Amino acid sequence: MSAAKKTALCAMLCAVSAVLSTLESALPLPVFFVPGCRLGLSNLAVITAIPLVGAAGSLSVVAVKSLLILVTRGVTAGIMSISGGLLSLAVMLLLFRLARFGFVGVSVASAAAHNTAQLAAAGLLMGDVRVFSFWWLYLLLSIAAGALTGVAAGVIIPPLGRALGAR
Amino acid sequence: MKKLSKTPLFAAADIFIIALVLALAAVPFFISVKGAGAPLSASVKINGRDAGSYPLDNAGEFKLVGENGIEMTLVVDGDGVFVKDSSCRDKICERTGKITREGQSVICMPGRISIALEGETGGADAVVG
Repeated sequence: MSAAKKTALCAMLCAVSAVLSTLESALPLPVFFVPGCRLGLSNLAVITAIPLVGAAGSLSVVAVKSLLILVTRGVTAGIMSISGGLLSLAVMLLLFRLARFGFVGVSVASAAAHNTAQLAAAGLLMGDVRVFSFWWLYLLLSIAAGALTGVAAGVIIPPLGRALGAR
Repeated sequence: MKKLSKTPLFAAADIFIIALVLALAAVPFFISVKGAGAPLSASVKINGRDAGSYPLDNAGEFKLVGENGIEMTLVVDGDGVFVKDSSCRDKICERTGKITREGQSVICMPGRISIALEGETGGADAVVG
């Protein structure tokens, strides 16, 4: 892929993540009756970015998404978003590099990392470790949500990659 | 980076990841059972500082004022506490619902308010029987 094509694709994925993130916060899922828990649809844009535009490109998708949340939903939400986004990206980059895992596994690990980092950020912001009381529930939900987005990623990414002329 | 076409939807190693997450999720079940049965009170912290303790047997509605001008009503009834009428737009604390067991908490991020149920004696020293 040429550098220009890569940059354009990266910008498109930033836009997709912003749209998915906005869409998701506008439609609270009745299935997940857990405070603050969402499907993590915007992670689809990040997981797509890793194989297609590389580590730096996917980092920019995470940064743009968090910046949007910072501007629209405030500093606290912005800090929560960037903490979750960075740890989950780091985990996904590592797992893709190990090359032993499928999209479902990478996505579940990423969702669990995202939730854990957010709770850690919340604990630091609040000065109170008690935020971890529902950690187990967030972990269980990250299996469900991660599996769903993982299947979506596994269905979408390979044909998208071929269409774009990626390896 | 691994070739994209070689990444499967699901690999055998994914089971390991799921098992690991399940194992982490199971940890609290082994450590949060002590003190069960002790009289509970809702301990409130705002920005990490203690902001009052509300024993469950003293039912009533209490106003909490957090950071960023966020106010909420803490409702204490006989077997638990919940939050209503939070002025924050996220309403995450309200959606948490009623908490009834030791160790559970209601968190308001924008107001930096955390409410957790704790044993009044700081956990049972000895449970006989």
